Amino acid sequence: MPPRRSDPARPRPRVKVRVEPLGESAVLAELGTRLDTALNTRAIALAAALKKRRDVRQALAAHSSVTVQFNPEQVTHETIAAAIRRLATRRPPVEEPGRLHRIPVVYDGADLEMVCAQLQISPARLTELHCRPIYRAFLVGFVPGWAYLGPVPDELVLPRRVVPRTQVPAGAVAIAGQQTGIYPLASPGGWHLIGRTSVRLFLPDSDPPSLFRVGDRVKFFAAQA
Amino acid sequence: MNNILRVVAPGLFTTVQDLGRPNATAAGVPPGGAMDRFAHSAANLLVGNDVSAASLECTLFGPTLTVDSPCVIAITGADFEPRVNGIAVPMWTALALGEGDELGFGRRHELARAYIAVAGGIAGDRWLGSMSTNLMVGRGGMHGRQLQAGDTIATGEQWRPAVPGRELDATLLPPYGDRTLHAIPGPHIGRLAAPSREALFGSAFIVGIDSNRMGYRLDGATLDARGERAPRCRSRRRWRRVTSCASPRRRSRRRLRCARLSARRSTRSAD
Repeated sequence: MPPRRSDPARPRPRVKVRVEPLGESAVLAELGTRLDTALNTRAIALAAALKKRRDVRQALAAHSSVTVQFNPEQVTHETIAAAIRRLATRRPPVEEPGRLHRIPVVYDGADLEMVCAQLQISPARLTELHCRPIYRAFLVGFVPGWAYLGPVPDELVLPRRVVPRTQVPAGAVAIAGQQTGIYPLASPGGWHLIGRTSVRLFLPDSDPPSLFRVGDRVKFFAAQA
Repeated sequence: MNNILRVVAPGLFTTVQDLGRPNATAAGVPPGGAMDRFAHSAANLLVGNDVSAASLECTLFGPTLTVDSPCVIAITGADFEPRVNGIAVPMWTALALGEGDELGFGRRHELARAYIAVAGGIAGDRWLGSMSTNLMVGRGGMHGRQLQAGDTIATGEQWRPAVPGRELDATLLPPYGDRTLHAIPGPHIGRLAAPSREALFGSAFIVGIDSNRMGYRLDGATLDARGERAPRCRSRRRWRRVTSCASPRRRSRRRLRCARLSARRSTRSAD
């Protein structure tokens, strides 16, 4: 728990938080728009603090924002926005480093050639670049067990596919924008498929069922088919 | 637990659903649950269940079920011409069925999903706190899949007496015929150029073939998003101006926010 009163030795961080309506019973609190570990940590802490309120049904942290679903019979947009602004000034607790997962990847995805052509790099270079960083799991969601990992090296930044696929096989490793991810189950998807892994990311009967948790670290390494 | 219904024909796509698993998001599992919460809840209340009991969700084309032991059921939602032993029966009403009766459906009139609730609630696999079927993972409900011919449907213990004949007044139904969706402009509305915004709120869209319980792909006017990210500083400046004074712009924005386009039907993120 962070101390309630601010430590006089360390000034409180100046916090800009943008709260906007998201339908009639939710607001989106944006702490920023960058893909940034510190922002993500603060978003997670803010969501945890908001969840303790009785008028909040669900608070979901994303990369740098929190979606707050509230009970409109108990609280208004304005009240919840004021509470968010107040809670956002709290210093987030010091984060323990997340578990490190090493994931073997065979780089032979369906979009590999197209991605290499667009980025003007060789497949070997793409493999090297994709394996280099230790990624952070910013958010677990979209489909069961999916984790948004990032940031990827600047040389690999590519917008999403224009038309998403209606079916992507389980285990596909993909990139889009500043992020990378692994499709845990066969599902629709709009990212560029560059490889595949045999690691099972979602085991429905385990507790917890998802391998990745928010804040975990992930490192890819190239494997032979 | 006693077996009450046997599936003769499963219909097009029939699954066990309840109110979903809203607290499974930490594992990335979507809440799921009945698409039409009103019809699902009404069906359960009519037969004396709690709204959280599981029901059968039938899509476009209803199943054929035979009754193994007497029970009280209610059919709500879309009108698929429900019949018992070939005789039309009313919807939104608790019906008593005897052993050997056959529940079938005819032609679809409108809407896509009908719900069948049974007094005592439908028994199914419970996964992460809910009996809703999650097809992607293959868990919940009828072993994580849609109904098949030969399945037996069991009920839980009945904790309230089920009385046939209880019905819901037609005036209490939501305006199902109205296809206008209620929408409040979200934080990323600025990414749409003005003509696209007009098209979004002003033109009609058709539900496309690539649609399922997770999402609908709508065919219609092409919407032009300026990019993955809104131009940051510009949108912030506009935001400030909007909140600081009662300009005509602010009034129009407020009017837009308040424009309640009658029928609200929630599109739930589902399986």
